[in-house]
Amino acid sequence: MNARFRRLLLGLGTMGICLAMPRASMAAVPLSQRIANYQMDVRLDVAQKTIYGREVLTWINTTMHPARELRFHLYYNAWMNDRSSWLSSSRYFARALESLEEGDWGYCKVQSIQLLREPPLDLTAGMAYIQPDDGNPHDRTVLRVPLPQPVFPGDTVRIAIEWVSKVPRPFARTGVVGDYYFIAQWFPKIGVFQEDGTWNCHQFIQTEFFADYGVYDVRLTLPTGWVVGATGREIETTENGDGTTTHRFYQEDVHDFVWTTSPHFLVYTDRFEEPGLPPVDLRLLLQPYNRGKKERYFEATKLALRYYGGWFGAYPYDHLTIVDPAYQSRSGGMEYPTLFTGGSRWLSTSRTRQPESVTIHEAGHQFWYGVVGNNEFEHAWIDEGFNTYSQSRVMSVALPPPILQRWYLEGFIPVLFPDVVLNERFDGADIYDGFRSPLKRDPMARPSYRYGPGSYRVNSYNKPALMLRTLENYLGWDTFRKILATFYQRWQFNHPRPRDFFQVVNEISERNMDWFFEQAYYGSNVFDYAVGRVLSMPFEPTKGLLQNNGDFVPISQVARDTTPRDTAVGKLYRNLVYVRRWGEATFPVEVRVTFAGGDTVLERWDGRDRWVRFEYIRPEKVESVEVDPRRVLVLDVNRTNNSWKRNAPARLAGWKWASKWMIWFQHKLELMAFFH
Amino acid sequence: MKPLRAYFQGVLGLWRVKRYILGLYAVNLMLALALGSVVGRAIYRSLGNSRAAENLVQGFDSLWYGSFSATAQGLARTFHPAVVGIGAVFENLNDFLQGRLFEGEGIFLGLGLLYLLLWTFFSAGFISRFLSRAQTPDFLQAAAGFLGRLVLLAILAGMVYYLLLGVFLDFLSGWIRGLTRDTTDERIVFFLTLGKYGAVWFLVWWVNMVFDYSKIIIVDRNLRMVPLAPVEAFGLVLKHPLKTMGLYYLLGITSTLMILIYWMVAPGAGASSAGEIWAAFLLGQLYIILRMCLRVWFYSSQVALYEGLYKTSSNQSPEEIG
Ligand SMILES: [Zn+2]
Repeated sequence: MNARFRRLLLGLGTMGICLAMPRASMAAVPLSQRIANYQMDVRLDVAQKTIYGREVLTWINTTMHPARELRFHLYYNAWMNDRSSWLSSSRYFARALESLEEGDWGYCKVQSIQLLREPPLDLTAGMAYIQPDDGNPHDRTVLRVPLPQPVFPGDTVRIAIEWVSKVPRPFARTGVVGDYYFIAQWFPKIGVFQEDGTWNCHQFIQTEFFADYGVYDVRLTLPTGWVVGATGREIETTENGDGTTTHRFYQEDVHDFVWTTSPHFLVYTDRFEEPGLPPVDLRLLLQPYNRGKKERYFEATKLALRYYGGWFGAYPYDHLTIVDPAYQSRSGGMEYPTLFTGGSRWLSTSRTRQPESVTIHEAGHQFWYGVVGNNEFEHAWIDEGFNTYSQSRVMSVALPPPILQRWYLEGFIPVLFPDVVLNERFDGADIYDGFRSPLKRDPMARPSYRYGPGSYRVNSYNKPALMLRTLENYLGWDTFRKILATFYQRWQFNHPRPRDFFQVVNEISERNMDWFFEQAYYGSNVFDYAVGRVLSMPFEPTKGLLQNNGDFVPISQVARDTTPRDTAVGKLYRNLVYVRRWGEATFPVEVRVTFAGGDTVLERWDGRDRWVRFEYIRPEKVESVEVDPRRVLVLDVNRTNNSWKRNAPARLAGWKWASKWMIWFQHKLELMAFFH
Repeated sequence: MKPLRAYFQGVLGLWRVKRYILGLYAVNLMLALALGSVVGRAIYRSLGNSRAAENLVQGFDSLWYGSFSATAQGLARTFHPAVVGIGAVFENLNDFLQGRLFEGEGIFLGLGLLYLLLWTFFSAGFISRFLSRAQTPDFLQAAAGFLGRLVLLAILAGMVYYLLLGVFLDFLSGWIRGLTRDTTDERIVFFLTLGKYGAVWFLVWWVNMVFDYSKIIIVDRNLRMVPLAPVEAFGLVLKHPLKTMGLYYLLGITSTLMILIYWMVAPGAGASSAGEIWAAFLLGQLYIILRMCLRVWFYSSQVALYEGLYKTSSNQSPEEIG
């Protein structure tokens, strides 16, 4: 323990943590409960690619239960070797590990841990790695530290930790490439002590994170001249005279702290100003080769702040840092409090939506993740799904529709196909075949860290976005916006659970939507409505016998106009429309039937039976039928079977696209002939 | 003989072999029609009476494509909207440049090899037609007579191509990966990648040119010892690097120009009436025919250059070799 650190501890010990914080930046009223507060002093050794850190954690037990131990995340240990739960899980392939060199692995080693009281008590000997999720004894991403006495409800405990983090070559989102450092999930971080008196401190397996809000006061000692970006604002810069500079960053009411440094960043600033919303200072750290994308990053960030702010509630901090990630750093497209990473290829044009799409998404996470801090281990869909939905909504309002793009020559060169227009991500689930749908792999309700292969993504992003879009369409945007705004404001700086959202939906919409959540969230059945058969039959004269004055006589002997049906012969059609439910899940749908003359009838079906038949006796034949014509149920897994049209030009469509395929194939043959 | 003169003389020669180019085109078209009808039927069946058919006629329907591609079997799996317009060219060119043209569906590999064989067969015919002093004036007779030797030559060439596009390209890729392991500037990796393809394709094109002259030498001299032809052709190219490469790259530039023009005029997904759909198809066919002409143009011009060079610089009479 060096002198500076001892002074820091002493100071804290006598004054309490609040006094150590800069008064100027303290909010008049804390926005959050400030359960987990960190003071850190950190030095980056770029030669060793190692971080030497010391932290004082001030932690408050806000539950009604005593805490007899503390639990910490050591996320960097996921990169320690290939036995960790993260690296041994199926999603990381052995091939990716082949190219690793010895210095590429990372770890987070706690060297000492002390309970700060008079006199300080060393807890180092009692600490142990535990594996609460999968029992994998090689996983060292959770550390348990027993306490000599419990921390009682309402009590505060202060813990000093010294640790070393070896920065890995990036496996996922954090690490070092060349002299670009992106440092996330890098320090011993306390888990969340829950209302029921248990720790929520999951291993790092396949999800993102979860932590309590608090105040971060972090001193980063880095090579002088390197540009640094971090959570919070830089409030103090000290040149140490030894080739290093200490940058002090301070941020209240956030649940994580991230930083990045590189000598190459270009730095730009801008300001978000919008009537009715508080201004936000924007700081952009750009890769030199993406210089031309400066305005695009700023504009996309402002779009998110403007629309999310207007729809749900204001962004509560007065600054935001945008980081353009270095090439091959795997740090792009990730959200952290008051800082996020975008991502863009050098040659991407604006129609590629790069960096717009990812920027809107990650800036949007400042709301869903940053402000509304759900448990991403268990309910990743809350922030990812809400954000994917909101991002798609912004893009559909503010950007031209997405178009097909192909990236050629190892992905460096984009070519756009402007007239191949794609759907927005929340506009339909028809990327799946109803019978093999990935939507069936797991119900969304399964904890995210236990999602099976291939279901993490679909259940965290796609399905919830479609579920929310279905709700928007069903309840109407005004109501749904109110629901989201209420949820946002009620649960800001807090940890909502899925049922908290469902409760807000029911409350604000004044309807009980449990039947929908029961299916879409708790279940894995899929929705699939379809037009079955459509028949339009001209009336034929009645054949057979009729009862006439008690006798059964051949119909030819009865005057024709005595049978009402026969008056319709040659004038009317009997139109039968069958609508089917192929999926197991049910949802009320509309059915629009259009007749040859252009008349339409809109039917409503509760969608519960397997099929329903509509019958129309009219002078015209049915021309077309559409189930769910307003596209309310975007969760429908097969949109193609939702419509029926007499003489649909399937043959022409088949020829059109097959003829293009043929040219493609002919050209392939021609290029093959090069080698003759 | 100047490359430019051979270039223009070559294009004039095409008229003499138009029947055979059309014959090759007919084979190409027949194969495409046979396979295309499978793909078309799959698209047609997946649509039924759905309104998605209207969307596909007007433009594209990505929701339909999702369900189509999830259930597609066999050839239908190779359908992708990027086959539209210039995509038909770029999708393949991308595989071509990366040495992956023969990957994918087995049927493509089989048909591709068959098509290669057909071109090998025709190439002797073309060359004999273009040679002013050819001994076998009949096209098919020449084609049949030289087939065995040219197949052997094609196998030799295939081995060299494999070394370049399989082994050497992979080696360079690995080398660049190692070299740029810590590079954080995309431009550096991009230009190194461009350089990699530039280097590999400079060699591939060079080899291609040598083997073109090898075929010409085999046909011209009725050479029996096939492996001697590339050696001889190599000497010729080394002796006249500017002329041979000048001509080759002149033709290469023509190919690039063709692609650029097609890029400008190829209709996209928006063409919606039956007439427009047919026009797009016919334009595509024109492009394919022109590409095939270009391939023959290479022979035609290279034969012209070859004869010109031998007239002026070779003191060896071709007949003496026999
Ligand atoms: Zn996200």
